[in-house]
Amino acid sequence: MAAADPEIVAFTCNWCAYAGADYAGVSRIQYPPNVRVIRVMCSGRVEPSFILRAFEEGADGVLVGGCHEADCHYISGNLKARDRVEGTKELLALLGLGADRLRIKWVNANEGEAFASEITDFTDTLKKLGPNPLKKTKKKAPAAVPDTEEIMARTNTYLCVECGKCTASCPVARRDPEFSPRFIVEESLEKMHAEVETGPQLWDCLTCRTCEERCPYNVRFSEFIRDSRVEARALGLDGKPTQAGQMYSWMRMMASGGLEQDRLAWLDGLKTKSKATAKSDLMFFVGCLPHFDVSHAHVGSNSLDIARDSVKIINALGITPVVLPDERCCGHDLLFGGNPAGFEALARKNAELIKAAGVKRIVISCPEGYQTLAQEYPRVLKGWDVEVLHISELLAEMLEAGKLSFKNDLGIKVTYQDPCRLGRYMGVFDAPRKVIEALPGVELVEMQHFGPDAICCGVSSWISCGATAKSIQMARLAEAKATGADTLVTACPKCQIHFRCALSGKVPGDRGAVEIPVEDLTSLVVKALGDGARSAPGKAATKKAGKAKSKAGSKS
Amino acid sequence: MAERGSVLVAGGGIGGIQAALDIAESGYRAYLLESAPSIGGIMAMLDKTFPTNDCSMCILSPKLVEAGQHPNIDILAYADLNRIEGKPGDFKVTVNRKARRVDPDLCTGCGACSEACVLERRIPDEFNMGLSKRSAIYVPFAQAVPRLALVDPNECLLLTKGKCKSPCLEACQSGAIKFDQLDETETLDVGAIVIASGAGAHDIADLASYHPEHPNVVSALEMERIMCASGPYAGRVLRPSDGEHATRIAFIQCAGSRDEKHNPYCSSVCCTYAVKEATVIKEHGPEIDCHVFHIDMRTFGKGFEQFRTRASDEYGIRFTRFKVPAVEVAGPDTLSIRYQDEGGAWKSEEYDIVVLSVGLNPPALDAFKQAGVEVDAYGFVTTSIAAPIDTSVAGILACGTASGPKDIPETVAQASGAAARCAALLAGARGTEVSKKEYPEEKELDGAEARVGVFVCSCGKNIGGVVDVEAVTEYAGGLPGVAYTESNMYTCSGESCDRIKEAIAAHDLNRVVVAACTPRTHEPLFRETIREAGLNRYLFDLANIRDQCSWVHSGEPQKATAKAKDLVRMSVARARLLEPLPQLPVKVTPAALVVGGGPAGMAAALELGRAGYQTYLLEKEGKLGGDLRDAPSGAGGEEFKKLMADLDSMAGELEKNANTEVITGAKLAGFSGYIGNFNAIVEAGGKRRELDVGAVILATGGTEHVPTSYLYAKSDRVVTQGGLEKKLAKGFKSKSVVMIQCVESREPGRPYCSRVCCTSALNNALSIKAVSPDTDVYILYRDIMAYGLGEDLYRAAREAGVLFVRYEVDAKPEVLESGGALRVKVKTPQLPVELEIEADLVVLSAPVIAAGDNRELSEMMKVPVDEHGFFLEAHVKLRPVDFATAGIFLAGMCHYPKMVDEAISQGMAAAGRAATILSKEYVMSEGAVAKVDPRFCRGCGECEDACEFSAVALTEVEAGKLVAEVNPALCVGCGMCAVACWSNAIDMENFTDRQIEAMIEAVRS
Repeated sequence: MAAADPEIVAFTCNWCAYAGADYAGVSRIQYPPNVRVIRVMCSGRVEPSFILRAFEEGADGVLVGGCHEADCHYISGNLKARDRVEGTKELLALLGLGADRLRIKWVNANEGEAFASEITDFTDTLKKLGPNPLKKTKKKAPAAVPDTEEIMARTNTYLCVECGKCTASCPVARRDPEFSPRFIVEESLEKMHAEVETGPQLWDCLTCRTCEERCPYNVRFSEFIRDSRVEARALGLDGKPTQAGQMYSWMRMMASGGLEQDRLAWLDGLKTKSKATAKSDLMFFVGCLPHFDVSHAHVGSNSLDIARDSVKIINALGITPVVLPDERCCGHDLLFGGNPAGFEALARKNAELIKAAGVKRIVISCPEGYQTLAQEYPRVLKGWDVEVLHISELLAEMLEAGKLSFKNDLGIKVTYQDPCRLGRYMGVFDAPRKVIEALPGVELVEMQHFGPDAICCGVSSWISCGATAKSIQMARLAEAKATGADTLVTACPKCQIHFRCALSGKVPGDRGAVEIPVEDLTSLVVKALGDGARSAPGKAATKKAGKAKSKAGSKS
Repeated sequence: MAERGSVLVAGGGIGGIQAALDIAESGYRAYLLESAPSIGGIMAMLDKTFPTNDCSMCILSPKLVEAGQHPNIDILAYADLNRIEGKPGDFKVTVNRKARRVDPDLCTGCGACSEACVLERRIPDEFNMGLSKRSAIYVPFAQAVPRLALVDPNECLLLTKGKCKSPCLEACQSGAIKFDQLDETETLDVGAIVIASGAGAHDIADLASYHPEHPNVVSALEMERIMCASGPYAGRVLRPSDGEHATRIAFIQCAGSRDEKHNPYCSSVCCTYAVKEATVIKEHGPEIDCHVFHIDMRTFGKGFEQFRTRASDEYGIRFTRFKVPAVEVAGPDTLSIRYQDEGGAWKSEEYDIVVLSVGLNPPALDAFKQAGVEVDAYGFVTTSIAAPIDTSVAGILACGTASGPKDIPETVAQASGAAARCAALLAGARGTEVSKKEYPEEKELDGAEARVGVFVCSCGKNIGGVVDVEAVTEYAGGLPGVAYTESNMYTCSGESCDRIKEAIAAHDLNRVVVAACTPRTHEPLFRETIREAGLNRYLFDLANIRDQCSWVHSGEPQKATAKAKDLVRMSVARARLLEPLPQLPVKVTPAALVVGGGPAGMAAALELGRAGYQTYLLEKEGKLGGDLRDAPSGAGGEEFKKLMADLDSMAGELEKNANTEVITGAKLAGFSGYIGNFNAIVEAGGKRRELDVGAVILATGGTEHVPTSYLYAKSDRVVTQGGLEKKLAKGFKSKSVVMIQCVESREPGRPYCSRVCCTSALNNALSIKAVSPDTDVYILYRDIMAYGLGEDLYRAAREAGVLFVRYEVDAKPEVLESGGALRVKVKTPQLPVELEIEADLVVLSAPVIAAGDNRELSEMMKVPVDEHGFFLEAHVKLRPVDFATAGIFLAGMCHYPKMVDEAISQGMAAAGRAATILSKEYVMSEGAVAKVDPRFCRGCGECEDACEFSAVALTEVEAGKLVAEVNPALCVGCGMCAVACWSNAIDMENFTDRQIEAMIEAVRS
């Protein structure tokens, strides 16, 4: 398409909207020549990821066309499409592309005029909105394929003595007999670096570092996997991301310039600022929490509660944190998803913003963001000298200093899930436990596997969320349940999503043996703080609570 | 001579189309004869259909295309039936094929001739009821099937005056126009004939007092075209006189119906279509005032009453009970109506448009009458209650409005029923005249790299006149994966299709892209072409550079060409990733299970048995007949006695027929399986039995609601109509009987009309009058739903002296008992005082409610029920007896209250639909189905919830592991499950994530 006109991608159902476009043709109704129609059988086939993908590729507007409400050839596909488009609009608003760039329109087979006028009208709107800021003019250069030999040397893979301890301790291998860290390494060695094992197994590793805890030769298997995925992608052997990769789409979009994001609506009423001051140079890094509340509304993610609670806690400590309106995804998932270039772009963007805001210390509630900012940013960014803390560390520090007091007795027995990035990656095992134990009326009981032995929540980086993941989750939830605890506490928004998701659908066997409420540490802390520290849940949380209303940016 | 395996279907409206499709799908050849140049009938002209307001063309046009492409349907459009000779099983029919003066093998329906015609847009266009103009050579409408032009011999200047330069000849690039073509007579040998001639709309010219000559007095069908987006005003509601927006519209009901001077019968459809038109108009412009003048509002069908209530309560449409005697002309653009309101006051209002809700006229049946087919006093084909689809001539059947006014779903049901009757009559000849095509073996791709062939069509000047076809072709040659390109004048012509086949062989092509017109009409043709060349059907993609480029960007040829390149690039990107998809044969058990032994179930089982399929008929009671078996032998007239005799003979035949097995005292205890392969566990007489069947029909009936009002059960002189029938059987002595209609129905809580109670009341009132003429019979009613030919019964009751008192829902009658006397108090809107009637007997017309087992069966068989417990069909209009789940059908009262003949029609319809499965050794699954990668399946069940067709289900593959499985026999390929799957374990074949993403990536070069 010529770049001067707004470019529209239209997904139309075969039966009504596409037929309506045909009718415009047969009737010779003229409309601007800047729409490219992609036919699907039902508008309900349109994944939010397709819409995001079109924007990523530079479309200025996306139209989803379906049958009028009672007309769907497949009974209810159009209604599902409508819900997903609504969710996707929320994502576009968050990203700063604007909800107005996405439309859904019911067009019937006789409504050639309606199709044509919709295109005309949409074109006018898009002209006013101006071009998609993500519009690319040049095709990107193919990513550089990493040097396998270098990866193997760097990750101690040559030291592997093929003892098999890794496989024996691997939570994936325990459930999927085809998966074996030991064989992956062996195969790489035998092929003499010619080509890493690039089968689907490369994407099944959780990079949870349980094997590394056990390996006598310190083979850094997770890092080996992480970097080998780059090569796999270059060979076209991608992993299978959930939700058709919509999260990856928005992460990549955030790596581009030009976006004016609108991601702070959840703050309403909380004390924050946009620049560091002499009094406080502490920043709260929000991460992808606002986006999760769209993409994962279906599981009752309520991720923004974690963000709100974190800020409430920080405020309760007498601190007004910096929260940046233009913060980007930390890049963790792109890095572990085999896209280091995307990761580095995000890292650079964040570093610029953080530096410009004068921030010296960052608090973060997501262990993945924590590990990424603390360990990966220094690796790729020159002069990155910002101190990074997980919220549990800040809390522990304040408790020690006697700056925190609790009002409410919670009267609850809990068990604690160690997030892989917080525990095995960053070595933070004690801080969250100290916080939990300091809460009035809270009894902590440990699961069978805890601390460095803790079992991963089953999914990492939104990849390979399948039968094995579910099985790991079921086993882990059963462990939690077996402790007799009332609640499973995590300190990671993603752990929370994964466990809640596992429980949101059907479960094999006895549901009673695995069903347990899952809550974030921050939520527990806010409950204990009391006194308005926990106000009514924010707008987004109530709006999307529960599965029935799920919009999910996405599915239902 | 043995019987013939083919059927003539006379009439190409929705009834004829459905009959032809079902006949062709159950092993017979169908000749679909239509007098007009295209099939589609009245339904093609409708904007929306009631009561769901579905777009008519959206649901009809796939049927048109399907009929047009069916290998065992020969469409004889623009042809008339001359003569029928012969005998059942072996008729000889003569048809006259009118000269189109266009060669059907050469014409592509592109319409270039029309645009060139000297008389372009000068002749009233029949499709738009004369509200727009066409040329003398024209394609009847955009979605016409066959899509062929024809010359209007009464208008063409060359043919009428002998003088014309005939620019059409030059415009037609394929040389299809043949002015010297003549009518041809053709003789067909067929085993049976289905009359699907349909009724015509009553001509408004006949209604002089309504000023039909005024441009703003329109028939309801004209209103359909006015409202329709593809109509003459592009869907704007304009006054025909001056093109101004209309703001005041009146509807006059019963225009030409329920009128001794025109058609004495009720036309059944007008009340609800008027509600529909008024509602749609309100959606076009909420400020438009719609005012409906009516006698009764006969909203007796499923969902109709609620539809009408919404019209007044939500849309603010006004309803006035007044039969308008005359319309007055107020000016060149306005009309006025003087009427009396319910309070008796006279008013006069002006309107911009007056819509005459005309009814249906009997069809022209000359050739059939000559063959001995009897018609009633009005001219409709005579049928009987127990054989509602049979005419008086064996082997000649009738469906739809040919035998009386009906709406679309009733017509469609009778059409499927007619197909069942054909299968029953011609059981011995099944499969003898159908064509079976042989294909070369499919080429294995073995992961070979894509070698795409791109064929770019000029479509005469349709594409080539705007898009630089050569430039697009050359551009396509440079795209990755493209191994061959060429351009064609008409890619869809036989010659070009042969070239595609040659190119596939010569250049070892394994994917084909055609850049031409729309896949909605042409994809099947090209898929067939590549299959003939040994490629799997799914290795094909169409880039629509006509409907989406040349035709809509004709003023911007450069941009249109650039867009055409983009569309080809996108198509090629998808085509490279297309994979061959197998269409798996699903073995069919040629046996059926019918649940419910009332009239509908009996009819269904009988037709299937007659057609040669092993059929089990399950009845929970001790004998067949449903609620009718309790009917007293003395009640009812001759017609009723004949019905009882007919049902007895049906029951007798079911006992005797070697293919049918009646299982009484039986209950369905378990159910599993899918189309062609169901397994039912039946409990009867304390024993369990397993039945393997290929199709299932639910005909579980309905039951009379037990009233809780009007002293029912408190006084032994308050009975229901059912109770009255039992009393009638024993002899009758009462002096005064009061019947109350709409008891506990048509009001919040049970908003639907039960359809049958008015007829029952009228019948019973007449029975009382027959045995006891001095008895006073009162019927207290809200609207008398004596629809269709039932109007005769209403008239008869009035003639017999039955007294009718109307009441309103908010002032219901009261029944009082004191000192052994019953009194009924009722307030009627016409009279200032309350009436008080002494009654010996009060008869309550209680509604029909759904049988209790519907919900249980619904859960067991995973088929839906509506909020009132009636089964919910797959589509209200065009799939009235299908469930969304393939292989399971419904019939009779379990769907909605209905008359015995209607229940029997539905029973036959369900048999006809079931026969489309049972007649096949295998049904072929759709190739493009959802596919699960079990590695990624989390067993959460989102897909199961999302699927409307029960095609995906979780299975416990091993202890503690649930995995979704798709049944390709049930999957319709919508892709809903693929999107519902969070972990992306499901992908949609032929529209895979990767294929769609590839197109997205190819949008920009």
